[in-house]
Amino acid sequence: MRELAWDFVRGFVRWPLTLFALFAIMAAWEWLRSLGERAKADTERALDAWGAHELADFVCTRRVSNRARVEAVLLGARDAELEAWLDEIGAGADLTWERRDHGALESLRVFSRDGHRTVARERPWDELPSEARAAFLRGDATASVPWQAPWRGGAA
Amino acid sequence: MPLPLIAIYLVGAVSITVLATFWADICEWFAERASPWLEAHVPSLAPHIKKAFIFIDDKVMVPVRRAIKRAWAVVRQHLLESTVTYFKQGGEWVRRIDSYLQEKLGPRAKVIKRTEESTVDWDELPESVRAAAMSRKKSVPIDFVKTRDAELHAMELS
Repeated sequence: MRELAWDFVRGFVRWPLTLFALFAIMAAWEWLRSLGERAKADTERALDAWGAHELADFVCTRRVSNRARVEAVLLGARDAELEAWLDEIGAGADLTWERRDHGALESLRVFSRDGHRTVARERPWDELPSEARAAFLRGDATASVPWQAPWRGGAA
Repeated sequence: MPLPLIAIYLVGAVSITVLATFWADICEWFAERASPWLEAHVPSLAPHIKKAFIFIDDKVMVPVRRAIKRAWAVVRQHLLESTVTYFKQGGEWVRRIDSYLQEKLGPRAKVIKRTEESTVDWDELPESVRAAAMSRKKSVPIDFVKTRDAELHAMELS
């Protein structure tokens, strides 16, 4: 009888602790998930902004007055006329990462039917998008992502 | 708190700190050394180990490192200067923290000076302070902001 009573007391003490531990694990997981989503969104936003800026800069050499509007369209604003013009001149971009010490060399190639231009910058490991980090960890020396226009379902 | 729990907590905290600090180095080692070795010696396990490593990198380490850097950037905007000075007073070691804080940002924002003093046991002194004390230095100042800046800079490069 005494044993049974002790078992009951032990169970009573253990259950709240078990529940607390489960709750702590779930809270930690949720916190990590929100941090991960924020990190991913921040990286994508920064890359979209860089890509739109460089591509607008490249294609607007003769239509300087439209530069800000083109950049906005490349970031997702709707403008049928500019979208048609960007499609017509074959505007596009692609991003490539080459593994370097503690990070990568991030190259952005912007192009149209008239030619292309490449800009590059060194990025630390944490600032790389998850696709590039995953490719490096799989053993690849380079990773690349083609750009797709927002009006055709691209990320921006 | 029971001793095993304290030990688990301490070991966990130290391991996470070391992992977070040297994570970029660890990833570099994994990509350059471990990944080809796994492919050559345990090809059946290699994809699973890589997947687990990628998961930890993407879901834990990189978000945590970025959160630490973001949090420090916010603190750094408000904390203009913070110096920790250890000195001897009446046979006891005293730690004085002088901080200059700016609650609101802007050129006309008021700067608040805050000073805290507390006595510290010999065992609790940082190693650099103990070494300085052994060489008969009476006061040891440490620039807290500069030290943290350097640590985070090293984390960026590591």
